[in-house]
Amino acid sequence: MRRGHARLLDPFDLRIDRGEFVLLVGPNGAGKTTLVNVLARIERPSEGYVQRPLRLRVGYVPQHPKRDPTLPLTVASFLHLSRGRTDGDDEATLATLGIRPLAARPLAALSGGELRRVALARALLRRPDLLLLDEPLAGIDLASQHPILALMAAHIAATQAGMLLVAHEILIALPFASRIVLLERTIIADGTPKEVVGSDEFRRLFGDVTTEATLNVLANHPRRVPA
Amino acid sequence: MSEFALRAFAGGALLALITGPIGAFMLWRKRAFFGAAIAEGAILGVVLGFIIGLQAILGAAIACMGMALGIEALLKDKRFSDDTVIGVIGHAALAGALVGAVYLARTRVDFLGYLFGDIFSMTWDDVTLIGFSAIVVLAPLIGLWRPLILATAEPEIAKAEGIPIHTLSYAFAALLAIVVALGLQVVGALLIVALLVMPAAAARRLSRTPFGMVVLSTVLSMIAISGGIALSFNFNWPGGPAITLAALGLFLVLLPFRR
Repeated sequence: MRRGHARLLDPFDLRIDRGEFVLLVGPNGAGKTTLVNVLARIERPSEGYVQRPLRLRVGYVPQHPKRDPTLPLTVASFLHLSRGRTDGDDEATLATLGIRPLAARPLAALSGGELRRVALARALLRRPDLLLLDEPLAGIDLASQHPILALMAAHIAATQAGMLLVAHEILIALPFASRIVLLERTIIADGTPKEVVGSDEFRRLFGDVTTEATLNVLANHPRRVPA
Repeated sequence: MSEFALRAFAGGALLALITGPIGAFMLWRKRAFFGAAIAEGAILGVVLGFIIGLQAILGAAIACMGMALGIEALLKDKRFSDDTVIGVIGHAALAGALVGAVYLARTRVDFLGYLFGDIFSMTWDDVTLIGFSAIVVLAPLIGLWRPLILATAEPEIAKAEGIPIHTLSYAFAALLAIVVALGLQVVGALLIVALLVMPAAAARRLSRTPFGMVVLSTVLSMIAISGGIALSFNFNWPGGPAITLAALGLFLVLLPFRR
Protein backbone atom coordinates (compact mmCIF):
# COMPACT_ATOMS: atom_id res chain seq x y z
CA MET A 1 0.00 0.00 0.00
CA ARG A 2 1.49 3.32 -1.12
CA ARG A 3 0.44 6.94 -0.71
CA GLY A 4 2.41 9.13 -3.08
CA HIS A 5 5.99 7.91 -2.82
CA ALA A 6 5.58 6.66 0.75
CA ARG A 7 5.20 2.93 1.25
CA LEU A 8 2.73 2.45 4.13
CA LEU A 9 2.26 -1.31 4.12
CA ASP A 10 4.26 -4.16 2.64
CA PRO A 11 2.35 -7.09 1.12
CA PHE A 12 0.75 -9.66 3.46
CA ASP A 13 -2.34 -11.84 3.79
CA LEU A 14 -4.83 -11.41 6.62
CA ARG A 15 -8.03 -13.33 7.15
CA ILE A 16 -10.66 -12.50 9.77
CA ASP A 17 -13.26 -15.18 10.49
CA ARG A 18 -16.68 -14.92 12.09
CA GLY A 19 -16.61 -14.87 15.88
CA GLU A 20 -12.96 -13.82 16.07
CA PHE A 21 -11.82 -11.03 18.40
CA VAL A 22 -8.62 -9.89 16.71
CA LEU A 23 -6.48 -7.37 18.54
CA LEU A 24 -4.25 -5.41 16.15
CA VAL A 25 -1.22 -3.90 17.85
CA GLY A 26 1.90 -2.14 16.67
CA PRO A 27 3.95 1.02 17.25
CA ASN A 28 2.96 4.46 15.91
CA GLY A 29 3.31 4.62 12.14
CA ALA A 30 3.10 0.83 11.77
CA GLY A 31 0.18 1.12 9.33
CA LYS A 32 -2.68 0.05 11.64
CA THR A 33 -5.08 2.79 10.56
CA THR A 34 -4.16 2.30 6.91
CA LEU A 35 -4.97 -1.41 7.24
CA VAL A 36 -8.32 -0.68 8.89
CA ASN A 37 -9.15 1.90 6.21
CA VAL A 38 -8.35 -0.55 3.44
CA LEU A 39 -10.51 -3.25 5.06
CA ALA A 40 -13.33 -0.69 5.50
CA ARG A 41 -12.97 0.30 1.83
CA ILE A 42 -12.26 3.90 2.81
CA GLU A 43 -8.93 3.63 0.99
CA ARG A 44 -8.20 1.50 -2.05
CA PRO A 45 -5.03 -0.60 -1.83
CA SER A 46 -2.43 0.36 -4.43
CA GLU A 47 -1.77 -3.37 -4.91
CA GLY A 48 -3.50 -6.52 -3.70
CA TYR A 49 -7.19 -6.78 -2.85
CA VAL A 50 -9.77 -7.16 -0.10
CA GLN A 51 -12.21 -10.01 -0.48
CA ARG A 52 -15.47 -9.68 1.44
CA PRO A 53 -18.70 -11.69 1.38
CA LEU A 54 -21.56 -10.04 -0.51
CA ARG A 55 -23.69 -7.63 1.54
CA LEU A 56 -21.25 -7.70 4.46
CA ARG A 57 -22.47 -5.27 7.13
CA VAL A 58 -19.59 -3.26 8.55
CA GLY A 59 -19.56 -1.40 11.84
CA TYR A 60 -16.71 1.11 11.90
CA VAL A 61 -15.25 3.50 14.44
CA PRO A 62 -12.73 5.96 12.99
CA GLN A 63 -9.59 6.96 14.85
CA HIS A 64 -10.82 10.57 15.01
CA PRO A 65 -14.62 10.91 14.90
CA LYS A 66 -15.62 14.36 13.63
CA ARG A 67 -17.15 17.17 15.64
CA ASP A 68 -18.71 19.90 13.52
CA PRO A 69 -20.45 22.81 15.27
CA THR A 70 -22.23 23.95 12.09
CA LEU A 71 -24.27 20.72 11.91
CA PRO A 72 -26.87 20.64 14.70
CA LEU A 73 -26.94 16.88 15.20
CA THR A 74 -27.75 15.35 18.59
CA VAL A 75 -26.40 12.01 19.76
CA ALA A 76 -29.88 10.46 19.48
CA SER A 77 -30.44 11.62 15.92
CA PHE A 78 -26.93 10.52 14.90
CA LEU A 79 -27.62 7.03 16.27
CA HIS A 80 -30.96 6.90 14.44
CA LEU A 81 -29.56 7.90 11.05
CA SER A 82 -29.41 4.28 9.96
CA ARG A 83 -31.95 2.60 12.23
CA GLY A 84 -35.30 3.91 13.41
CA ARG A 85 -35.90 2.11 16.69
CA THR A 86 -33.91 0.32 19.35
CA ASP A 87 -34.80 -2.92 21.15
CA GLY A 88 -33.83 -4.48 24.50
CA ASP A 89 -30.33 -5.53 23.44
CA ASP A 90 -29.70 -2.04 22.11
CA GLU A 91 -30.77 -0.55 25.43
CA ALA A 92 -28.14 -2.68 27.21
CA THR A 93 -25.50 -1.52 24.71
CA LEU A 94 -26.45 2.11 25.22
CA ALA A 95 -26.43 1.67 29.02
CA THR A 96 -22.95 0.07 29.08
CA LEU A 97 -21.56 2.78 26.84
CA GLY A 98 -23.16 5.48 28.99
CA ILE A 99 -25.03 6.98 26.04
CA ARG A 100 -28.42 7.65 27.67
CA PRO A 101 -27.37 10.82 29.54
CA LEU A 102 -25.78 12.10 26.32
CA ALA A 103 -28.77 11.47 24.03
CA ALA A 104 -30.03 15.05 23.81
CA ARG A 105 -26.60 16.65 23.58
CA PRO A 106 -25.16 17.93 20.28
CA LEU A 107 -22.31 15.82 18.88
CA ALA A 108 -20.19 18.97 18.73
CA ALA A 109 -20.42 19.40 22.52
CA LEU A 110 -19.04 15.94 23.38
CA SER A 111 -15.55 15.21 24.67
CA GLY A 112 -13.25 12.95 22.62
CA GLY A 113 -14.01 9.93 24.82
CA GLU A 114 -17.77 10.55 24.70
CA LEU A 115 -17.64 10.88 20.93
CA ARG A 116 -15.88 7.52 20.62
CA ARG A 117 -18.52 5.89 22.85
CA VAL A 118 -21.23 7.26 20.54
CA ALA A 119 -19.39 6.07 17.41
CA LEU A 120 -18.97 2.64 19.00
CA ALA A 121 -22.66 2.53 19.94
CA ARG A 122 -23.57 3.31 16.35
CA ALA A 123 -21.26 0.58 15.06
CA LEU A 124 -22.75 -2.03 17.45
CA LEU A 125 -26.38 -0.98 16.87
CA ARG A 126 -25.98 -1.76 13.17
CA ARG A 127 -25.68 -5.47 14.07
CA PRO A 128 -22.61 -5.73 11.86
CA ASP A 129 -20.99 -8.88 10.46
CA LEU A 130 -17.59 -7.24 10.81
CA LEU A 131 -16.48 -4.63 13.35
CA LEU A 132 -13.50 -2.46 12.41
CA LEU A 133 -12.56 -0.35 15.42
CA ASP A 134 -9.65 2.06 15.22
CA GLU A 135 -8.56 2.93 18.74
CA PRO A 136 -12.08 3.18 20.22
CA LEU A 137 -10.63 3.05 23.75
CA ALA A 138 -8.49 6.17 23.31
CA GLY A 139 -9.70 8.89 25.64
CA ILE A 140 -12.10 6.55 27.44
CA ASP A 141 -11.69 6.56 31.22
CA LEU A 142 -10.00 3.53 32.75
CA ALA A 143 -13.06 2.45 34.74
CA SER A 144 -15.12 2.17 31.54
CA GLN A 145 -12.58 0.39 29.36
CA HIS A 146 -13.13 -3.05 30.90
CA PRO A 147 -16.96 -3.06 30.66
CA ILE A 148 -16.74 -1.73 27.09
CA LEU A 149 -14.36 -4.53 26.09
CA ALA A 150 -16.67 -7.04 27.78
CA LEU A 151 -19.56 -5.57 25.78
CA MET A 152 -17.63 -6.01 22.53
CA ALA A 153 -16.76 -9.61 23.43
CA ALA A 154 -20.37 -10.37 24.37
CA HIS A 155 -21.56 -8.85 21.10
CA ILE A 156 -19.20 -11.06 19.13
CA ALA A 157 -20.21 -14.15 21.08
CA ALA A 158 -23.90 -13.39 20.49
CA THR A 159 -23.79 -12.38 16.82
CA GLN A 160 -20.71 -14.29 15.63
CA ALA A 161 -19.43 -11.10 14.04
CA GLY A 162 -15.72 -10.83 13.33
CA MET A 163 -13.81 -7.96 14.90
CA LEU A 164 -10.53 -6.16 14.33
CA LEU A 165 -9.71 -3.90 17.27
CA VAL A 166 -6.80 -1.47 17.12
CA ALA A 167 -5.76 -0.62 20.66
CA HIS A 168 -2.70 0.48 22.58
CA GLU A 169 -4.40 -0.70 25.78
CA ILE A 170 -2.90 -4.19 25.42
CA LEU A 171 -2.94 -5.10 29.08
CA ILE A 172 -6.66 -4.57 29.51
CA ALA A 173 -7.75 -5.81 26.07
CA LEU A 174 -5.62 -8.95 26.01
CA PRO A 175 -7.85 -11.23 28.13
CA PHE A 176 -10.74 -10.67 25.68
CA ALA A 177 -8.82 -11.32 22.45
CA SER A 178 -8.91 -14.65 20.66
CA ARG A 179 -6.03 -13.63 18.43
CA ILE A 180 -3.35 -10.93 18.24
CA VAL A 181 -1.87 -9.51 15.06
CA LEU A 182 1.39 -7.61 15.41
CA LEU A 183 1.90 -5.07 12.66
CA GLU A 184 5.02 -3.18 11.66
CA ARG A 185 4.31 -2.22 8.04
CA THR A 186 3.67 -5.93 7.54
CA ILE A 187 2.37 -8.67 9.81
CA ILE A 188 5.33 -9.76 11.93
CA ALA A 189 3.39 -12.03 14.30
CA ASP A 190 -0.10 -13.52 14.17
CA GLY A 191 -1.53 -16.08 16.57
CA THR A 192 -3.04 -16.65 19.99
CA PRO A 193 -2.21 -14.06 22.66
CA LYS A 194 0.20 -16.52 24.28
CA GLU A 195 2.06 -17.17 21.02
CA VAL A 196 2.39 -13.53 20.04
CA VAL A 197 3.27 -12.10 23.45
CA GLY A 198 5.86 -14.83 23.85
CA SER A 199 7.46 -14.01 20.49
CA ASP A 200 10.79 -12.22 20.08
CA GLU A 201 9.08 -9.63 17.84
CA PHE A 202 6.71 -8.59 20.63
CA ARG A 203 9.63 -8.13 23.07
CA ARG A 204 11.62 -6.18 20.48
CA LEU A 205 8.70 -3.78 19.76
CA PHE A 206 7.38 -3.25 23.27
CA GLY A 207 10.46 -3.78 25.47
CA ASP A 208 11.06 -6.01 28.48
CA VAL A 209 8.87 -4.18 31.00
CA THR A 210 5.70 -4.22 28.89
CA THR A 211 6.36 -7.78 27.74
CA GLU A 212 6.78 -9.04 31.31
CA ALA A 213 3.64 -7.18 32.43
CA THR A 214 1.69 -8.61 29.49
CA LEU A 215 2.92 -12.15 30.19
CA ASN A 216 1.85 -11.63 33.80
CA VAL A 217 -1.66 -10.64 32.71
CA LEU A 218 -1.82 -13.70 30.47
CA ALA A 219 -0.76 -15.98 33.31
CA ASN A 220 -3.18 -14.55 35.87
CA HIS A 221 -6.21 -13.71 33.74
CA PRO A 222 -7.45 -16.57 31.59
CA ARG A 223 -9.31 -15.59 28.45
CA ARG A 224 -12.66 -13.99 29.22
CA VAL A 225 -15.16 -15.59 26.93
CA PRO A 226 -18.69 -14.37 27.63
CA ALA A 227 -21.22 -17.03 28.56
CA MET B 1 -48.66 45.68 -6.66
CA SER B 2 -47.18 46.10 -10.10
CA GLU B 3 -46.65 42.98 -12.14
CA PHE B 4 -42.85 43.20 -12.21
CA ALA B 5 -42.79 43.39 -8.41
CA LEU B 6 -45.15 40.41 -8.23
CA ARG B 7 -42.86 38.43 -10.55
CA ALA B 8 -39.87 39.39 -8.40
CA PHE B 9 -41.60 38.24 -5.18
CA ALA B 10 -42.79 34.99 -6.79
CA GLY B 11 -39.39 34.17 -8.33
CA GLY B 12 -37.61 35.14 -5.11
CA ALA B 13 -39.86 32.99 -2.94
CA LEU B 14 -39.35 29.98 -5.23
CA LEU B 15 -35.60 30.54 -5.27
CA ALA B 16 -35.59 30.66 -1.46
CA LEU B 17 -37.10 27.15 -1.46
CA ILE B 18 -33.77 25.89 -2.77
CA THR B 19 -31.22 28.43 -1.49
CA GLY B 20 -32.38 27.65 2.09
CA PRO B 21 -31.66 23.88 2.02
CA ILE B 22 -28.66 24.07 -0.33
CA GLY B 23 -27.19 26.90 1.77
CA ALA B 24 -27.45 24.73 4.90
CA PHE B 25 -25.74 21.77 3.21
CA MET B 26 -23.14 24.16 1.77
CA LEU B 27 -22.22 25.31 5.28
CA TRP B 28 -22.17 21.78 6.68
CA ARG B 29 -20.03 20.48 3.82
CA LYS B 30 -17.65 23.50 3.97
CA ARG B 31 -18.44 24.40 0.40
CA ALA B 32 -18.86 28.22 0.55
CA PHE B 33 -15.58 28.91 -1.27
CA PHE B 34 -16.54 26.16 -3.72
CA GLY B 35 -19.86 27.97 -4.36
CA ALA B 36 -17.99 31.22 -4.95
CA ALA B 37 -15.77 29.50 -7.54
CA ILE B 38 -18.85 28.15 -9.35
CA ALA B 39 -20.21 31.70 -9.43
CA GLU B 40 -16.94 32.94 -10.92
CA GLY B 41 -17.32 30.21 -13.53
CA ALA B 42 -20.84 31.50 -14.19
CA ILE B 43 -19.43 34.91 -15.13
CA LEU B 44 -17.05 33.22 -17.57
CA GLY B 45 -20.01 31.25 -18.94
CA VAL B 46 -22.02 34.43 -19.53
CA VAL B 47 -19.10 36.06 -21.37
CA LEU B 48 -18.29 33.00 -23.47
CA GLY B 49 -21.98 32.54 -24.14
CA PHE B 50 -22.25 36.04 -25.56
CA ILE B 51 -19.08 35.62 -27.61
CA ILE B 52 -20.22 32.37 -29.24
CA GLY B 53 -23.85 33.47 -29.47
CA LEU B 54 -25.46 31.39 -26.71
CA GLN B 55 -28.17 32.70 -24.40
CA ALA B 56 -26.46 34.13 -21.31
CA ILE B 57 -28.33 31.95 -18.80
CA LEU B 58 -27.56 28.84 -20.85
CA GLY B 59 -23.86 29.74 -21.03
CA ALA B 60 -23.87 30.34 -17.27
CA ALA B 61 -25.67 27.07 -16.52
CA ILE B 62 -23.23 25.03 -18.62
CA ALA B 63 -20.23 26.80 -17.07
CA CYS B 64 -21.60 26.33 -13.52
CA MET B 65 -22.11 22.60 -14.06
CA GLY B 66 -18.68 22.24 -15.68
CA MET B 67 -16.99 24.15 -12.86
CA ALA B 68 -18.82 22.23 -10.13
CA LEU B 69 -18.16 18.75 -11.49
CA GLY B 70 -14.63 19.63 -12.66
CA ILE B 71 -13.56 21.05 -9.30
CA GLU B 72 -15.20 18.16 -7.46
CA ALA B 73 -13.16 15.72 -9.58
CA LEU B 74 -9.93 17.65 -8.94
CA LEU B 75 -10.58 17.72 -5.18
CA LYS B 76 -10.02 13.95 -5.15
CA ASP B 77 -6.34 14.66 -5.93
CA LYS B 78 -4.94 14.99 -2.44
CA ARG B 79 -1.62 16.48 -3.58
CA PHE B 80 -3.29 19.90 -3.27
CA SER B 81 -5.49 21.29 -0.52
CA ASP B 82 -9.14 21.97 -1.33
CA ASP B 83 -8.60 25.73 -0.97
CA THR B 84 -5.72 25.63 -3.45
CA VAL B 85 -7.72 23.79 -6.13
CA ILE B 86 -10.82 25.98 -5.68
CA GLY B 87 -8.85 29.23 -5.44
CA VAL B 88 -6.77 28.57 -8.55
CA ILE B 89 -9.64 27.45 -10.77
CA GLY B 90 -12.24 29.94 -9.56
CA HIS B 91 -10.03 32.96 -9.97
CA ALA B 92 -8.67 31.71 -13.30
CA ALA B 93 -12.27 31.60 -14.54
CA LEU B 94 -12.94 35.11 -13.22
CA ALA B 95 -9.79 36.49 -14.84
CA GLY B 96 -10.76 34.83 -18.12
CA ALA B 97 -14.22 36.36 -17.88
CA LEU B 98 -12.85 39.86 -17.26
CA VAL B 99 -10.52 39.57 -20.26
CA GLY B 100 -13.41 38.29 -22.37
CA ALA B 101 -15.56 41.21 -21.19
CA VAL B 102 -13.21 43.57 -23.05
CA TYR B 103 -14.65 42.15 -26.26
CA LEU B 104 -18.22 42.45 -24.94
CA ALA B 105 -17.76 46.15 -24.17
CA ARG B 106 -18.09 46.77 -27.90
CA THR B 107 -21.42 44.93 -28.08
CA ARG B 108 -23.38 46.87 -25.43
CA VAL B 109 -24.08 43.84 -23.28
CA ASP B 110 -25.31 44.56 -19.73
CA PHE B 111 -22.49 42.67 -18.10
CA LEU B 112 -23.06 44.25 -14.68
CA GLY B 113 -26.57 42.78 -14.61
CA TYR B 114 -25.02 39.32 -14.23
CA LEU B 115 -22.54 40.43 -11.59
CA PHE B 116 -25.14 42.08 -9.32
CA GLY B 117 -28.41 40.55 -10.57
CA ASP B 118 -31.60 42.28 -11.63
CA ILE B 119 -34.56 40.66 -9.96
CA PHE B 120 -37.03 43.14 -11.45
CA SER B 121 -36.19 42.05 -14.99
CA MET B 122 -37.57 38.58 -14.26
CA THR B 123 -40.21 37.24 -16.67
CA TRP B 124 -42.93 34.67 -15.90
CA ASP B 125 -40.85 32.19 -17.91
CA ASP B 126 -37.95 32.81 -15.50
CA VAL B 127 -40.29 32.24 -12.54
CA THR B 128 -41.51 28.98 -14.09
CA LEU B 129 -37.91 27.86 -14.67
CA ILE B 130 -37.04 28.52 -11.02
CA GLY B 131 -40.16 26.64 -9.89
CA PHE B 132 -39.31 23.65 -12.07
CA SER B 133 -35.70 23.72 -10.89
CA ALA B 134 -36.87 23.80 -7.26
CA ILE B 135 -38.47 20.38 -7.82
CA VAL B 136 -35.32 19.07 -9.53
CA VAL B 137 -33.17 20.22 -6.60
CA LEU B 138 -35.46 19.34 -3.68
CA ALA B 139 -36.45 15.82 -4.82
CA PRO B 140 -32.95 14.30 -4.48
CA LEU B 141 -32.31 16.21 -1.24
CA ILE B 142 -35.43 14.69 0.30
CA GLY B 143 -34.83 11.23 -1.18
CA LEU B 144 -31.19 11.08 -0.08
CA TRP B 145 -31.67 12.88 3.24
CA ARG B 146 -30.28 10.27 5.67
CA PRO B 147 -27.26 9.16 3.61
CA LEU B 148 -26.48 12.78 2.80
CA ILE B 149 -26.59 13.81 6.46
CA LEU B 150 -24.41 10.85 7.50
CA ALA B 151 -21.96 11.46 4.62
CA THR B 152 -21.80 15.11 5.71
CA ALA B 153 -21.40 14.43 9.45
CA GLU B 154 -19.05 11.42 9.24
CA PRO B 155 -17.87 10.71 5.69
CA GLU B 156 -15.54 7.89 6.76
CA ILE B 157 -18.25 6.06 8.69
CA ALA B 158 -20.65 6.59 5.78
CA LYS B 159 -18.14 5.14 3.33
CA ALA B 160 -17.38 2.15 5.56
CA GLU B 161 -21.14 1.51 5.78
CA GLY B 162 -21.34 1.34 2.00
CA ILE B 163 -22.75 4.81 1.22
CA PRO B 164 -21.32 6.05 -2.11
CA ILE B 165 -19.96 9.30 -0.69
CA HIS B 166 -18.15 10.34 -3.88
CA THR B 167 -21.31 10.00 -5.95
CA LEU B 168 -23.16 12.05 -3.32
CA SER B 169 -20.44 14.74 -3.50
CA TYR B 170 -20.88 15.00 -7.27
CA ALA B 171 -24.67 15.08 -6.87
CA PHE B 172 -24.42 17.90 -4.33
CA ALA B 173 -21.97 19.82 -6.55
CA ALA B 174 -24.47 19.54 -9.43
CA LEU B 175 -27.33 20.81 -7.23
CA LEU B 176 -25.18 23.72 -6.04
CA ALA B 177 -24.38 24.54 -9.69
CA ILE B 178 -28.09 24.71 -10.53
CA VAL B 179 -28.78 27.03 -7.60
CA VAL B 180 -25.86 29.34 -8.47
CA ALA B 181 -26.98 29.54 -12.12
CA LEU B 182 -30.53 30.39 -11.07
CA GLY B 183 -29.31 32.94 -8.55
CA LEU B 184 -27.49 34.94 -11.23
CA GLN B 185 -30.58 36.83 -12.22
CA VAL B 186 -31.79 37.43 -8.67
CA VAL B 187 -28.69 38.53 -6.73
CA GLY B 188 -25.92 38.14 -9.32
CA ALA B 189 -22.73 36.11 -9.41
CA LEU B 190 -20.91 38.20 -6.81
CA LEU B 191 -23.59 37.88 -4.14
CA ILE B 192 -25.18 34.46 -4.67
CA VAL B 193 -22.92 32.87 -2.06
CA ALA B 194 -24.04 35.50 0.44
CA LEU B 195 -27.67 34.48 -0.19
CA LEU B 196 -26.66 30.85 0.46
CA VAL B 197 -24.47 31.46 3.53
CA MET B 198 -26.24 34.17 5.51
CA PRO B 199 -29.74 32.67 6.01
CA ALA B 200 -28.22 29.24 6.77
CA ALA B 201 -25.73 30.72 9.25
CA ALA B 202 -28.54 32.73 10.86
CA ALA B 203 -30.74 29.59 11.04
CA ARG B 204 -27.96 27.71 12.84
CA ARG B 205 -28.31 30.05 15.80
CA LEU B 206 -31.85 28.74 16.50
CA SER B 207 -31.72 25.15 15.23
CA ARG B 208 -31.43 21.89 17.15
CA THR B 209 -31.75 19.48 14.20
CA PRO B 210 -30.53 19.44 10.58
CA PHE B 211 -34.12 19.38 9.31
CA GLY B 212 -35.09 22.30 11.55
CA MET B 213 -32.11 24.27 10.25
CA VAL B 214 -33.08 23.60 6.63
CA VAL B 215 -36.67 24.75 7.23
CA LEU B 216 -35.58 27.87 9.12
CA SER B 217 -32.91 28.67 6.54
CA THR B 218 -35.60 28.52 3.84
CA VAL B 219 -37.93 30.80 5.79
CA LEU B 220 -35.10 33.27 6.45
CA SER B 221 -34.12 33.18 2.75
CA MET B 222 -37.71 34.10 1.85
CA ILE B 223 -37.72 36.95 4.37
CA ALA B 224 -34.32 38.20 3.13
CA ILE B 225 -35.37 38.14 -0.53
CA SER B 226 -38.78 39.74 0.15
CA GLY B 227 -37.22 42.31 2.47
CA GLY B 228 -34.52 43.07 -0.09
CA ILE B 229 -37.10 43.56 -2.82
CA ALA B 230 -39.05 45.92 -0.56
CA LEU B 231 -35.87 47.88 0.30
CA SER B 232 -34.92 48.05 -3.34
CA PHE B 233 -38.40 49.19 -4.32
CA ASN B 234 -38.68 51.89 -1.67
CA PHE B 235 -35.15 53.29 -1.63
CA ASN B 236 -34.15 52.58 -5.21
CA TRP B 237 -31.27 50.36 -4.05
CA PRO B 238 -29.91 47.72 -6.45
CA GLY B 239 -31.80 44.43 -5.87
CA GLY B 240 -28.92 41.99 -5.21
CA PRO B 241 -27.11 44.14 -2.63
CA ALA B 242 -30.44 45.02 -0.95
CA ILE B 243 -31.28 41.30 -0.55
CA THR B 244 -27.79 40.60 0.79
CA LEU B 245 -28.06 43.42 3.35
CA ALA B 246 -31.50 42.13 4.42
CA ALA B 247 -29.95 38.67 4.94
CA LEU B 248 -27.09 40.25 6.89
CA GLY B 249 -29.66 42.05 9.08
CA LEU B 250 -31.34 38.71 9.91
CA PHE B 251 -27.97 37.14 10.72
CA LEU B 252 -27.05 40.01 13.06
CA VAL B 253 -30.43 39.88 14.82
CA LEU B 254 -30.07 36.14 15.48
CA LEU B 255 -26.38 36.29 16.36
CA PRO B 256 -26.91 36.50 20.16
CA PHE B 257 -28.91 33.24 20.15
CA ARG B 258 -27.15 29.89 20.54
CA ARG B 259 -28.58 26.35 20.47
